[in-house]
Amino acid sequence: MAAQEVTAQPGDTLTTLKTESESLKTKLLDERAKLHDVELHQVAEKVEALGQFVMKTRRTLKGHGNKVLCMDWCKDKRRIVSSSQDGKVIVWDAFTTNKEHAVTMPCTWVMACAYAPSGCAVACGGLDNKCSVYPLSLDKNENLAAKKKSVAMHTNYLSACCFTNSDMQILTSSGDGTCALWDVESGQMLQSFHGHAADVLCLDLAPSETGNTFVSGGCDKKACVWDMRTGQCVQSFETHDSDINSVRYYPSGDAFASGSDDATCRLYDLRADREVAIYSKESIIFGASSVDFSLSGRLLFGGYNDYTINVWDVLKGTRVSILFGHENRVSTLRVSPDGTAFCSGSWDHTLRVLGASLESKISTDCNIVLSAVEFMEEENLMKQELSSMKEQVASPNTTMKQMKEIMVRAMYCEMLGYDASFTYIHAIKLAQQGGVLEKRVGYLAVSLFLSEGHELLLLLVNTVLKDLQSTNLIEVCMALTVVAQNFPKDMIPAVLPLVEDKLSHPKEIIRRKAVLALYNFYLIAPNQVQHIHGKFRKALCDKDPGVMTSSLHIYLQLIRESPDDYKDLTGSFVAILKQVVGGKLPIDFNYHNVPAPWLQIQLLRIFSLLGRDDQSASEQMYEVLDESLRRAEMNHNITYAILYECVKTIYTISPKAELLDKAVRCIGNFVLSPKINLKYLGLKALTYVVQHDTKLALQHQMTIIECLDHSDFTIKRETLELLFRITNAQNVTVIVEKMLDFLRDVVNNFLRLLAEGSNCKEDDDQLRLYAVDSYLNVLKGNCFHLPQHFLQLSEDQTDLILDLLENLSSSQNTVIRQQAQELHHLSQDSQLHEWVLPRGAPWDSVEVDSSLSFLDGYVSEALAAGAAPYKPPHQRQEELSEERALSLEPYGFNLPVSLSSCSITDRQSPTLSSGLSGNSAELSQKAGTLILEGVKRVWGKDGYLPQKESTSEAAQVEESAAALQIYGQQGAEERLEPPDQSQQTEDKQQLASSLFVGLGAQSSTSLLGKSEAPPPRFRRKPRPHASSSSSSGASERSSESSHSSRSTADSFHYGNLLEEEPTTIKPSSDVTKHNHIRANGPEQNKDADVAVETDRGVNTSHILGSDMVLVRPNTIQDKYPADLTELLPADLKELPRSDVISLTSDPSLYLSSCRVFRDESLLLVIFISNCTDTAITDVAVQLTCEGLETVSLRGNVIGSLESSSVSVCHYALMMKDPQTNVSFTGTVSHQTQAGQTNSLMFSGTLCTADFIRPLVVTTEEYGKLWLSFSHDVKQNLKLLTDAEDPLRATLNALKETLQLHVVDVIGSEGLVACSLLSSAPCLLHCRVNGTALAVWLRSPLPALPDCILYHCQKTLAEL
Amino acid sequence: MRKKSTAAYSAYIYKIEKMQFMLLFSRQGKLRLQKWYVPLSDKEKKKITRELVQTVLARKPKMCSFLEWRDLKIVYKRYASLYFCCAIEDQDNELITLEIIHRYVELLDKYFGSVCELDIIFNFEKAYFILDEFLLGGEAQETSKKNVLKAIEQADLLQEEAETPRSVLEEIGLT
Repeated sequence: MAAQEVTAQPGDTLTTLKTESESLKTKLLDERAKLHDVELHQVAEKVEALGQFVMKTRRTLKGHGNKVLCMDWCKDKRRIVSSSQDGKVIVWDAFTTNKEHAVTMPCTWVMACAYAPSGCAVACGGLDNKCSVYPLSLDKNENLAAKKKSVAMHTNYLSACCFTNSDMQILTSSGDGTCALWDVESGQMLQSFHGHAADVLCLDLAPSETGNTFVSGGCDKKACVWDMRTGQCVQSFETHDSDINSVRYYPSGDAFASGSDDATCRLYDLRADREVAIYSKESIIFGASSVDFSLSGRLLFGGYNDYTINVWDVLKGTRVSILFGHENRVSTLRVSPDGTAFCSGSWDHTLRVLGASLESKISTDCNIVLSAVEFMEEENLMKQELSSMKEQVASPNTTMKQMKEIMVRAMYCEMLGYDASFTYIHAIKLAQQGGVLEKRVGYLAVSLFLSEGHELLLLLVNTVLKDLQSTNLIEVCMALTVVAQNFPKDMIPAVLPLVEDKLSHPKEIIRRKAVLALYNFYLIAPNQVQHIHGKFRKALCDKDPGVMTSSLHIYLQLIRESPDDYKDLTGSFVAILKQVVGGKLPIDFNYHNVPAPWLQIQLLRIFSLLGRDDQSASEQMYEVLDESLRRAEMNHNITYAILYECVKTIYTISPKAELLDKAVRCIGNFVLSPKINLKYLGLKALTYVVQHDTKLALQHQMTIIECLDHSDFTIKRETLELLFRITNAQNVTVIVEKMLDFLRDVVNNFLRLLAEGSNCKEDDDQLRLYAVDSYLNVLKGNCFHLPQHFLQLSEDQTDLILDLLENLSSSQNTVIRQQAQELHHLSQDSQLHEWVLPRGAPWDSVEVDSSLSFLDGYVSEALAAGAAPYKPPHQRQEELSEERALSLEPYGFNLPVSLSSCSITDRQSPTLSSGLSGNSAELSQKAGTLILEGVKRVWGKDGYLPQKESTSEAAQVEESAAALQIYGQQGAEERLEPPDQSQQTEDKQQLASSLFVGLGAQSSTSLLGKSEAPPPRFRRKPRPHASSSSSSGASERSSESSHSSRSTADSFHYGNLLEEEPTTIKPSSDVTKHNHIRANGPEQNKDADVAVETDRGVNTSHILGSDMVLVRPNTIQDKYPADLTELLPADLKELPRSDVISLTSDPSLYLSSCRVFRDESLLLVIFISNCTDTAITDVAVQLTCEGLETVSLRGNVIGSLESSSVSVCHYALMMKDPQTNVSFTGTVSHQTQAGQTNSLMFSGTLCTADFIRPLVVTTEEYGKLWLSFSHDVKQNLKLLTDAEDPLRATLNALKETLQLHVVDVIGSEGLVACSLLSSAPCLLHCRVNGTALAVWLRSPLPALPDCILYHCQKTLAEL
Repeated sequence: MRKKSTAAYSAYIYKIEKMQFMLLFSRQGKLRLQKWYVPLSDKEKKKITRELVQTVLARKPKMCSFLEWRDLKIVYKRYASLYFCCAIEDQDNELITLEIIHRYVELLDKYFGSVCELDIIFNFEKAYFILDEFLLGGEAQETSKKNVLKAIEQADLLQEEAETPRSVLEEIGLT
């Protein structure tokens, strides 16, 4: 039993123990799981994704004869040690790919290698079960193997090794399942680490200096973290499904990654004590052999057995990139210590160094290298280098070869800014005495060191002479190269014959260089080569295109100096370009598929010189230029370069319209290109061509505006240059403003430079003196326009200041006087000066206490003493204006009435109607301004201003005011409607119109003279509006229904809001009518007047008068609800017409009239209504009108007018002589049933406005017309400043009442045209001038402008 | 509109439309190559270089490749870490200058085989040889890529030929 028990127990124990351990394990897992609250990739969701990740192989290290098994970086970021299956350990220079050391190990399969932290030793080991340390010596000849030190001894293969933070200790891991720490010096084992159940394959030391831990992984699928001091395993992780091939600490040391044969990499966090991420993909089925982190820890590089390297995003767990390149499995992978590159070793026998790509053509290792080559640039080293060079140079033993090396280094030193002038003479010596090899460097050094005038160059002449005669081609080339670059002027005659001979050398390279040498001679001493011009021609005819191209340099120069001497060559040049463009040159000369672009450009330049002001020469070129333009269609920089040159040439030679058009289109391509370089060229080309034709800028105005705000200084500058070219009298202000804006930055920078200085004292002083001098010059001139802080600048030169002060103290300008005084005091009190304006301080750091806080005490004292508190100017002004408003109150009562009626009575005086000019116009203007003020009180920005309204206004007016206020609000609401985004474009458009005003329509510009050019052909508004405006404008005339049509038919979007105003007025009829009159301007007003004048002498308030009038039509219209206009003949119904107004009435007849606007005449339609119940017979109408031609058309005699019926009679009225107002009188006689003849008088007035018709012309026509008219009147009109766009609003208002045609609006100018019926035209040129509208009218009829002006004034006054 | 800032600089009259100089410098502002086609004093050269390097490096990548500087037009382009920078006359054609730079880079690239800054640092004399073969005295001399490289290779070849016998002789002399 017992025995049984005993035997049973161990089995039991084993199983129980096993189960117990299993349960403990699960408990442990559970505990760990409790700590696991969230996945890493979830946490990392907010982290920004990694950008484009491109890495390229920068270096391939070839040399191993078998699989590379392990590698390590040296701490110098440059060297690499690698071990291979062939038993070799190689130390590489990763930059140069040189092998610096190679060690052959006694065994194959060197599975581990490591660089010592000092970089002075490498450790390696493998199947020999040992770890050997080889110290690296600088002496390359020393046998490394002899110094080998065997450090560690395992019982199985060495799988990995790694130095601790010193050269003195090394950690190893082995196939025997242990890791161990060894002392390098003694070879003693310091600590061994037992815990792995199978082979340990990898280990990694914790990154921190104090961290005494390392991690190891092995075939037991376990990763263990060890404490080096105790030798205990402190943490272990067992989640991999297969052997762990590689472990690497996270850079912070808080986590580590592992790569395993189970095709995954995993991340373990030591703090969380668990696996936090798995990096795997279904597509990845091969094991990971090696892992490493990027320096930041964001990337995990994994080398896989499927020959690839996968790059993982550590945080998100996604694969960022996959790198190919190796042709066998990747066995090892390490990131360089500075993180800029990594190196991978593979079974394909190679190592590859991969670095991040820097976007473009030259692949670069500079990041890796820069720090390494920095040493070259350190001054100390440089000095050492220079002194050693000096020694060597002086030493007689230095061979030519060494001298060559020295020379190269000297060139480098010179380039870095160190003086190596002691080598100059040796450079010449080298060129003189060396073999070809040295000579080449010698010549190069000479050409770099010695510029044209250097005296040492004289020593070179003999060498050059010798080499020019050499049979060695290379030597001749070298000599010619140096001759073509820098050669002393005096010595030209010596070499000239030799160089000339070379022009007939069989080799084209020699001929080419000889030509260029001659070109150089020509540049530095033209008269020396005068006699050989013939030879240039020979070179031009050379069969080699290269030589020919070179000769063009000379010709370009020659032709530039005297184009006339070479006209005969035009044909040849054209022929050459034709051949080039036609692709006749050898393909070698193609550049990106463009045939010899340099040659083309050279020829185009020559063309522009030859063709300038020469019609016949130009004619020869047209064809080939056209061809060039046509050919250069490829979208490549080089074609654009040619196009640009073409455009320039086309605009330089005598013009041909067709080509110009094409060229302009080309410029369009440039300007509109998204590529900024092309845009710049476009602007430059535009700048060039606008000198010939300013209107070309118009097509690109929006682009130009955009470029004006471009962030790039260069673009901005070029744009300003362009603006400068198109400056004319109209846009000069805007352009100068733009330039000043631009200068402001420059000035600030300049002042900063002045104050702070640059590094060079001499320059600073020079600059400062210059600045002060020119500054004083400015001050001595007229200093009234100078900015205030100008005076704050002068600090240094006291005597000058005193001198200046005398000037300034007598200045008229108080500010300048004050500043002069300040300066004066400052200059006397140096201490104070120092304190206020510290010298050498940056100028803008001088703080000015703008709130004058230091005066607070004084102020409070004064206040306490009873002084009045300070009122800021705007407050004072407000108060003042309030007072003024009050004082104006009495006028407010009947302001509109008195003024308008007054003006009307004025107009009725015969002198005025016969023709306005001079004084009377001024008078009316005065009236206008008065009205303006009156209106201004009532109308504010937001419409009606109730607070300004006087309280004593008539109740009626108040009522209407209320209505208006409503309207005003509505208007305001509507005004909000225009979307904000359009604001910016509108701004730009406005800017454009102000910048490009006065361009285009060149002919009219010149004809019109500088100040009043008509607008160019830019119109953002489509034409159709304008063309329809005659009819739409006319239709405005017809009664209330026309309000809506008006708003839709009008062309100006700016004006729309204004035009829509009337439609919003729909309250009580009384007020409506009232407003209606106000809004509808003079003709209704006139109607009212017509009515009023039926009872002459009644001169009551306008408002009352109109009310009185309005009552009657209302009643009549009640009586005749049918629209009287229905009675108009069909052909007239279509025409624009006025409202029907009543003329007069008696118990039996009611007369009303309507004006119909025909193009050639005004039709006065008189409606005769029978109010009685019986028929009226023998109705006869007679109309008389002074100053008008009257033609009765129909219906002036009616036999019988039925009861309650209406008869219509027409009169065509024509105004031959413009008059402001014309009154007509007439009688209607009829017979009542009683047989009694009654006659009814009627009368009315017509104004010029009734006879004005829009004149539809284009801008160009306008320009021509303008010049043909002799009579002109200028006048300032009121501008509707309250509107968003005052000009347009004003013009629209005029247009509405006066049937004008707005031809064009450009910026602050508007062109308006109209005609007196179909005869005499009148042109108006309106320009915004501050708050007024300056109008300039021209017409063939002397009185017409006055009349129109009068109506304009009236219209605007009544608005 | 223009000012000449220093007397020495303005003393030279630019009547010739040719390249004034060419500079290569790194992103760190280190000069890698300089070629002056106009005679200037060392001091001037240094000053110009310093100013230009600063100005060009301060420019943002989206800006255009041209720059007005003093009386000249600077055309520059960045290739990886290197800036190639040419000074030309204001009236010259900027785009063609840009293409000159590009062609030079192409030449370097072809010669060195995927050229990088290091190649130019360690073989800058080669870079000069190529430049001299391509541009002579500030004018494009030979624009055919093949011809330039042929010329350089011929010279290189000659060098090697010259080198071998010499070393043999030296060996003989030593023994």
